[in-house]
Amino acid sequence: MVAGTTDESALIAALRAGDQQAFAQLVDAYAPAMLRVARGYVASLQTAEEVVQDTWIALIRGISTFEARSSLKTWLFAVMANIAKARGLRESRDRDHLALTGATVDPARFHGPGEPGAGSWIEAPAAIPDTPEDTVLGRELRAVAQTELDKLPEQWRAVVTLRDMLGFSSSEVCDLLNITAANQRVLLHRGRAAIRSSLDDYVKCQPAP
Amino acid sequence: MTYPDGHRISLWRRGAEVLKSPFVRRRPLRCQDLVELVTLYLEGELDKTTRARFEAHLRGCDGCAAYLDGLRVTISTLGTLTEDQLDPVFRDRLLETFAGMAGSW
Repeated sequence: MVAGTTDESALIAALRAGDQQAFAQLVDAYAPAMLRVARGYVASLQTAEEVVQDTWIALIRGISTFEARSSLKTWLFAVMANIAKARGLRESRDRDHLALTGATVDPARFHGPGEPGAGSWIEAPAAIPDTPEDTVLGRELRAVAQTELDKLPEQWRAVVTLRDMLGFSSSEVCDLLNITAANQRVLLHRGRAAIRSSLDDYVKCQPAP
Repeated sequence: MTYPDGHRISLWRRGAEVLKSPFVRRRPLRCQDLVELVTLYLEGELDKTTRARFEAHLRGCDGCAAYLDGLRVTISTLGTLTEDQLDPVFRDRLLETFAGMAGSW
């Protein structure tokens, strides 16, 4: 993902000059993640697309006076959060409590009550190899992670996308999604665990090297 | 949900709440506790005592060490994901919006 550390002044100048290619580049870098996060705010894909589009319109309108106090990335997601909030967020009851019950890891993977070693692993989790991106296995692991991320409940996906893909801090994510620190942590915890579990399943199905 | 020692724990208040159980405080951490605490651990939010208990368990448990390592790889893998392509119709709409507005300021 695009790091927010590069000097963006050239990009901002190009946008001010009406450079289509610079705009397309920025859209390709952030709009998919924005849409992913917007789905956590509003009920339908159509509304999410409207929220994302309104955010880009706000950027185009504001670019002539944009002051680089924050990165474009931070600005885009903060403005999008405000636009989504103005449209009315979903009921927080749905967002916060959905599917957060139960254990993080399937209790069947641990020795049960009364057995020797109660609460310890029956079979150790698979080692997920730390594989360079450009290898076959590295590409496959990324594909598995991407697929699982897409399957997560929307709030989990929004938190994992903002934290682990886009590198926002926990307090930024709380502000962007209007959630408490405790909920942010639980959503991150559950989302990461679900993706780890899918990688675990994938690695276990591979033939031994 | 109940702990392996038969004590009920509340369903969704997990993580830090696990530690508030007096039963958990009195015995060594188990693998099933550890998987609920990893995010607090990685976020640096465990208190000193719990962190020490967590790390003591980790040193003696290959399964939990593998779980934590795998989680770290998961996080770094997520950091390398590039987004899918946008729906081309939606992308065109955004680009047209820019084309229509550029030069109007």
